[in-house]
Amino acid sequence: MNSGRLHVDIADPHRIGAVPRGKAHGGRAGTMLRAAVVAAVVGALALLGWGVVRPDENRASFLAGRPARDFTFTTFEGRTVTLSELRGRPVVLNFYASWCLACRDEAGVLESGWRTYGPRGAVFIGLAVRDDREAAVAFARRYGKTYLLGPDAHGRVGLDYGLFGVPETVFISPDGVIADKVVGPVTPEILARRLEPWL
Amino acid sequence: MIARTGVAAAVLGLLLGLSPPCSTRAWAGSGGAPAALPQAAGADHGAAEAALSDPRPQAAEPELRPLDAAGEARASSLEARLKCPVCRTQSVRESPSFLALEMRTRIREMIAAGRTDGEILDWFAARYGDDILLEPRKRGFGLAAWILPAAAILAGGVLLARRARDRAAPPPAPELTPEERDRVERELKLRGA
Repeated sequence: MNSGRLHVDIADPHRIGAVPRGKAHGGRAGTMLRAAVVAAVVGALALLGWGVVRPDENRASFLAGRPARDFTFTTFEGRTVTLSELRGRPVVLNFYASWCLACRDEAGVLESGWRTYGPRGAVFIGLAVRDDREAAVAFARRYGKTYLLGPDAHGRVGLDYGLFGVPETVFISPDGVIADKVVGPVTPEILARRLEPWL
Repeated sequence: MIARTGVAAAVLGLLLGLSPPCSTRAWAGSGGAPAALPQAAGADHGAAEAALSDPRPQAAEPELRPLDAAGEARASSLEARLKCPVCRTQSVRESPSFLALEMRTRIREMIAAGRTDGEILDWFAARYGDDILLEPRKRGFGLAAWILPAAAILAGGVLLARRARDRAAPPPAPELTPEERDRVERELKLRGA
């Protein structure tokens, strides 16, 4: 009222005067929206991180519990072998190659495994993957292999068993179900753990 | 904060994209591609030993069966939709690995045998898991990959539209009590209206 100048005594700036921008929707809704966006981004990043660090070794495990797909092959000695005819006996199906270093490590393990568990009913099969016939035979001779060995012609059986590389070993139960696939060389412990319960 | 997380995500994505591609040796198990032999106990062959013996697949490369134009187009499309199992970043079409070559051979056989695209993709997924599909399945968890980007763009659009509207519209006039109204009137009159 003094000197005729406009003088509004603003007691509550939120009631009289401009509403600050950004608060138009109410602070609470804005905060919740922001929290939701942050949560969504953090969640997506967490998923991405999990996908990056997730260990690979379990990627073969989805084969476990599935029926083993049948196949027939001819051994290097000319004998025809069909998987389904081996029903009733556990089968160790090993994929190897003469050009594979890790296969040299496990060559002795498989042969001694065959000598231990073969007489008790287990069947050992070694399929040479993408290998020259002579090289695969020479490899078998060099390591004194005596179990069923033959070529995996055109990688057919390998693809059917979801082969990533060599060596890989599939354990097939006496009733023809895939129990496990080991990626990399097998050890005597792995053979014992898998085969003993079946024999 | 949101912009910063976005940058972090972009950098992470770039790193993923830069992870080493596949080589013909990926099939060899001992050839330096960790994907081939993730946890090979006792298989700690150094690069030196690998280089010395230079293990290489010895079989001749299989010939790819030629198809008619439509078949070739389908084969090419299927190869691009399947991930090379021993590579992290390449499709079967791009990968020089032997496994990818065998998969290409098998794809062509199945096309020649009259199988549908869906059957062929299912065939590989049954053996290598859904991870092998470069396009996630349009069901289950894979559906998220199809829906989330569109949903995010939609939500962003809605947010932007709301913002633009708030900017355009003046803030609502504050409600005045009768006393305040009287006072404003009085002050305006005093100002000489």
